[in-house]
Amino acid sequence: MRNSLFQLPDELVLTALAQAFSCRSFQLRSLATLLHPDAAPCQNVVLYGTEATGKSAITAALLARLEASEDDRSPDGDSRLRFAIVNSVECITSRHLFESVVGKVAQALRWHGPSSSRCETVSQLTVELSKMLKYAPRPDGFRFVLVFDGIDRQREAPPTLLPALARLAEIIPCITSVFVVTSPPANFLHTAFAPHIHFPNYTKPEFVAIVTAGGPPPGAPALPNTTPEEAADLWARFAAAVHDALARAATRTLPAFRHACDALWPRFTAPVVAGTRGAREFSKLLIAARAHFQDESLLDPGIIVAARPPSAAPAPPTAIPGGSNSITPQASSKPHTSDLAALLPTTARLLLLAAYLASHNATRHDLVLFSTHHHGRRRRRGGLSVGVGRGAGPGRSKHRKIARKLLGAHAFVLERMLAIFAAVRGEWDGRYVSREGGGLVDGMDTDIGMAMATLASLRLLVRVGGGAGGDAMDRGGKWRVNVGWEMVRALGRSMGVEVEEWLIE
Amino acid sequence: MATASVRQAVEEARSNLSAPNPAGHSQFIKDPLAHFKSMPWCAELLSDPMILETVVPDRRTLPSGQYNFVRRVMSGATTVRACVSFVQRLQQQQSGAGGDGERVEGKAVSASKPLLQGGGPADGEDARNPFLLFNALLDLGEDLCSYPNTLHGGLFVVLMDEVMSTAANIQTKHGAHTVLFNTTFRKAVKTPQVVLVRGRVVKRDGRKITVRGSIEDKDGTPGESSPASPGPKAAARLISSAVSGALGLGRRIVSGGRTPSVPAVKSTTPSAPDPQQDSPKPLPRPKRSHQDLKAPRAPLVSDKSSVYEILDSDDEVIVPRLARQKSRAAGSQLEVQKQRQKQLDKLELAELEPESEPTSATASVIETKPEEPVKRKRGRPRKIQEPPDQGYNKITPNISAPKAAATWQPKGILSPSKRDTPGRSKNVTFGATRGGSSSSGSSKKKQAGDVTFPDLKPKAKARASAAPARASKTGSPRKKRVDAKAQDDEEAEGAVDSETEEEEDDDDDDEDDDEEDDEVCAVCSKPDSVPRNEIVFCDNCDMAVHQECYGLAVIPEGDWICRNCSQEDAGAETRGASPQSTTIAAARDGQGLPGMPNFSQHLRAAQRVLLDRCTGRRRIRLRGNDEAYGKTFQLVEQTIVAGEGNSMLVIGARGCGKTTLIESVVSEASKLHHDEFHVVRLNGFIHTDDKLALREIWRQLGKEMEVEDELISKTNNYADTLASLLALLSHPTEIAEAQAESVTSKSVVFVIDEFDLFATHARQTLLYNLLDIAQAKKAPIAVVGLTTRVDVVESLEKRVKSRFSHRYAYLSLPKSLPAFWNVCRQGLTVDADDMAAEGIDAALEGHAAFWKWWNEEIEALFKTRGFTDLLESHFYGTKSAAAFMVDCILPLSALSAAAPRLRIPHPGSGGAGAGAGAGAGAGAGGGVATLGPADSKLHLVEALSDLDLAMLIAAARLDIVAHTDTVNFAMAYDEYAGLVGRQRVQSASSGMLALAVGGGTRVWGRGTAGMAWERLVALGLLVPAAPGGRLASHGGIDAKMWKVDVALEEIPTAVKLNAVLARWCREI
Repeated sequence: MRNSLFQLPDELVLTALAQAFSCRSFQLRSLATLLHPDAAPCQNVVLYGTEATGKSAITAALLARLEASEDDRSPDGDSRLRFAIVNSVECITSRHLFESVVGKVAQALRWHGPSSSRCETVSQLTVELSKMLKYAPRPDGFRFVLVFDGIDRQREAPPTLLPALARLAEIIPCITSVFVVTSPPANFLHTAFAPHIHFPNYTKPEFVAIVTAGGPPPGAPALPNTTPEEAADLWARFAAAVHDALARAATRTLPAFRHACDALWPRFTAPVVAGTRGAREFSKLLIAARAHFQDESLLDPGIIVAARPPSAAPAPPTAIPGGSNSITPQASSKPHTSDLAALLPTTARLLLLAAYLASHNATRHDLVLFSTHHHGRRRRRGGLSVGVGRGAGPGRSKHRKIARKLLGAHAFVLERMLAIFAAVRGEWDGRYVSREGGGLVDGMDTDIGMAMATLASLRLLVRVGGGAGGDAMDRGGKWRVNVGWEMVRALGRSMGVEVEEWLIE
Repeated sequence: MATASVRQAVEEARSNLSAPNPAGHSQFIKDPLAHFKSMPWCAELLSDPMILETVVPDRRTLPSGQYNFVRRVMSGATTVRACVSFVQRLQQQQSGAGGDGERVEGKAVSASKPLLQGGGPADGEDARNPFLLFNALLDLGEDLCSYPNTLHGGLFVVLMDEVMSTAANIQTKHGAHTVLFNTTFRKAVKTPQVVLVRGRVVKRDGRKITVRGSIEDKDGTPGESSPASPGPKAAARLISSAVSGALGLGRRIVSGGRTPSVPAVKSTTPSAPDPQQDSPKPLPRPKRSHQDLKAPRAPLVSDKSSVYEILDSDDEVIVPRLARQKSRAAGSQLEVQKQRQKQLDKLELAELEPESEPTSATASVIETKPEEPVKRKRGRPRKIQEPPDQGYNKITPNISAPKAAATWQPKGILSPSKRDTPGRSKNVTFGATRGGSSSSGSSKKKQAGDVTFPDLKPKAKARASAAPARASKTGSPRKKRVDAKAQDDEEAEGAVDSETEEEEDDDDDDEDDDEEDDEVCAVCSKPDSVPRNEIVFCDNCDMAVHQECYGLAVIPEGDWICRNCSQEDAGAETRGASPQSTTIAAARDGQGLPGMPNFSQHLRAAQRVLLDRCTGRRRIRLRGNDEAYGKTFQLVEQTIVAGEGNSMLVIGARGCGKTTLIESVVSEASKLHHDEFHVVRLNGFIHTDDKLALREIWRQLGKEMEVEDELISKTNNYADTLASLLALLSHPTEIAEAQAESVTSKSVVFVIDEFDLFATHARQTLLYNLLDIAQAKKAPIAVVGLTTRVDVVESLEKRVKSRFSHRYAYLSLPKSLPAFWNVCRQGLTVDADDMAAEGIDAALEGHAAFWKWWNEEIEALFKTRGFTDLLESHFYGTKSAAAFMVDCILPLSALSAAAPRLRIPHPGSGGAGAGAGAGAGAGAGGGVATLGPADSKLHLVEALSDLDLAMLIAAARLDIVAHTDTVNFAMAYDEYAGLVGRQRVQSASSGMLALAVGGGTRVWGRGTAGMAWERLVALGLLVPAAPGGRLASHGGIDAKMWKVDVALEEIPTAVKLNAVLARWCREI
């Protein structure tokens, strides 16, 4: 008869969890109310919010605790709450998803009965779940919570998937389905209603409180001449400063924030460690570390930076990335290894520039740009300075034109690119000037072939269109350049060419 | 001794104001005193022994034209015919008790009662200068009406204010300004009539004086008859604000070159220097536009108050004439606060208020709020047409030239200070040299004493935390008054109704000093910087503040960092929130625990039932769809009993109860005809093709009919399954070889949910077969389709359609609010008939009492405003009872024996809008948050960082500025970089570098911006422009085209942007 009365979940469980997940008390309590067998178990619950707001973690932790507390109440194994969590990201197809569900449910129930090996459709899923949950005897008031984590990211999901999953609970009454999604469209379950719990992003005090509770990174050395209270206070203020400088400004997620704090802490406290400043002098520390607070590499580490110069090799690789002050300056002072100018031979560089021009200039401008017929000299046009924003008199459209180079590369015919190459190479590269006149074409053809192959294999040029599998030197083949404006400009400057002058809007 | 000094003060006032000889007053009635004495009730009043002085106010016009409103307009045969004022002394020992008041006041007791309370040393009454009762008898003519024969509402205020400010002026040497004026109209005043207007200071606290006033008629106790007519206070409120806007500047002209703002400012800051000390120094004059003023003004006009400023008399005590009024209406309730930075108002009309010397102006706050007078109701709004009767015989001569005054720009005390940070200069501005030399050079030295509100937030918080405590004490709702002086506010609200602020300010300000200095304080927007109050710059964000504005006693050596940068508040905010909310909860829940046996048990049983209903685990009754129910039930029963084949469609919107209906029918039928039929349930979402559906039918029938498993598993073939199914269903007489004869005798009810999806299956085989069986009477089956689509039949193939019986049952959503409530209330209460069915033990002691109490609670709740709002928002939004019930889940589960009252969330607080609110506020506020879904994707926007937002705005701008609906990262980043660049140029040229504050002037690198872009993509704020992956395959992040799923104008509504981002959204 105990089930006939309403009862909220055990407060002890909730309090412990609320401490573990600070600033999520409301969501935690609501969810517990909506899941617990004695409270108000719903058929479907939707949890939504942006990433890293604790949706999955809280659900998992809460369910584990609730199940454990139920287990305590009925030691004979007849727990009234079981759960299974299926992460859609781990499931490639929907069949994969269904079979994971069946497998996890069977595991959670310690089910040893017959089960079919295949489960391809929701219909079969329903049958399998019914076998385990509906027809098998279960204790009074039994609830099974089925969590579909990230179900909105399920690949190849048919449009009926979510509504169908939402109807599991209608067919099998003891199921509660929990859908963890980012942003639910209106009425996406096609049911009359489902309680939604919003997990908003943290506010500044919440961010700071969470990171403060975590304390300084475990690997960090203790600060000398500092009491633990002072250190804690410094950490809290430091975290708030990091939040303002980096988290709110650029990446407002808890992991990124935590990472930035951990990485900056050694640099920030370096004066304290060195003994030049006390831990109470927050302002001075802040000003001393101001440069670090603007360091973007914290947020966007990149892969290239990881290739450290050999001198840094002795440093233990497990050290925190931001731990060694010296590395970043060194890495940046060296020429960037991703610089194409250093990597490519001259012909390939020229070819790439020609390809960029071919991709970004309209064909009709070619004559103007590259013809030497009238002027004896190729006419350069200051691309941007002429093209952008200069309309045709009073009737100019009020809409701004978008720079062509921003619109992405267009495909070009190889023939055209080679013509451009031939037209500009003399001007761009001294070697060709000297050799201009005779015997050039043959030698260049091999060179060009090499360069084309190099560029294609590096995917700096990509073949497009139906003939992608054909001969690379097919002059009718279509290509597209695959590098961006910044890179091309740097490449051009490395050869003394202002690419901008060769672009016509 | 006391009396002597009072007399002296009054006499002084009289000598200043009243006519030297009684005949020289030029009122319409030659002898006003005799006129009033001829009326018995007035005579009684005038003969009171406690009257210190009786005055006939002068109505002669002055050569200068001042005070013409009262002297000329408000005096005449048809306006105010006669006026006599008299000052009365109360016996202050008993003034709080009211017993004494009864004697003194004669019959006017109850209307004036609030006036007689208060005072005493606790309220700041000085024995030598006691709080006197100031009365004015006025004979109102018939021309003071807008609505026929009814005194114009604005004139109420005029009369009240004249009287009350006079009462306040008796209290102070320097005169008082009205800062806040709260009025409650109780009843209409009929004209012509003789009325008694009275006002009395009830509290004095520093410079704040609180005055109460009332208007009453000869009966004095208007409470007895107050026929309520429509057209309540709202109208009056509306007018007051309209008038205040219209008349904004008039007062200023009269008042001359005083700067009321500064003293007001001073009063708010505890650490402010003594006003006296500062007064001689000239004040800097901020330049403000009117728009600037509007913003701060808004909060000052709270629910029932109108706030304005009067610059009125100082040194003289004004004894206004009493006007006469014939209305039976009595007390209009007034709450007056005169606020200095508002210069407008209805009282502007009465510029007859005595004027002060410019050198020592005084502000006072007058506020009155009588409690008892009859509510005055008005049928419609009216305008102020005529000035009130008023007269001051004497005028202060010192009135500065209107010209000078006209340039005065009022300054809101709470005006958001411009975050103008000065250039890049470091640390300290030495005001005199720097301020003067840097820009216009014409600077007067600004004096140091002006201190604005360095930080209103803590005070606001303090107030907020004080509020619940107060509420729990008194239990009565309080008017929320937003007072400029946050600290004063608290005391004022505690027990007293009004406050007066007296100020000793007065520095002439230089009106012409409008230089723009680029180094202005971020708090007070003033550029002056003098020793001991210099402008200090934060070394981290370059914010500039005055030492005093920021509470900085000494300029620190070396670097200094503002509070924002030093993160002093970082930890504090989170801690502050929770205890406060628990007080609220505790305070409310403590009241009225119904004492009845087994209360907790009853409550929990009720919760179980109601929550099960709300969560959909228990069916609720279908209301208002009896016809559909009857039709369906009859059809099913015919199939079961008579073996007919039938088909029908149940059509209705989502959430209207289709499933409830069919399940009720099935369970009802199974009650009546126990084992005589099977039910097969199919769902279009789950059984996505006919093969699956057939197998499912086969399985369900097999399960129900206990056909052996191998028979089911044997028939793997679709055709086999169909054949055996047909065999199973068909009448044995038709198919002789039917193998299981026993089973066919039972009817089968097919419930096909999402029927329209079955119509999309190839060739509609299943529907064809089922309908064919039903139509051809091959077997007793009923096919009941449930669908939301009205036109579902159109999607059936011809051969299928022809086999369908074309019987429909339409379910409708509730058509009216009462009908909707009728459905919804099942989620909140259990009908007596259903008790047994729901398993509630009616025999348990206290059952009847509990449910009686509970139903009363629900009915009471239903009548509350918030609940009605919630209900209406669901009714007008979706009409979904289920959605309403979901909203009830948390309130219901929050109930306990200790807190047995439902608290219903507000409709607006649900979903995305309350994201943060739900987390912080609602979580603490006792679970009063909704479980509603998000309104739109916009809730994602508020989770974004500044860079994410900037990229989103840049992308959304391109839609408009470049007329392209698809963007790629390169375009968005280019736009973003351009915007930041322009922002930099602008801010550099305007001398404000909002590096830390605005945060918009930093250009993040391409890599970081790319991460932000990818985040937008992941959140679905950017959707791929081209479906599929053709464009996605090349060009990387730069070139792939996206569509922005949020319009530019939506972004500012979804999240509070900083100034820079907001500008990007605004300025195309």
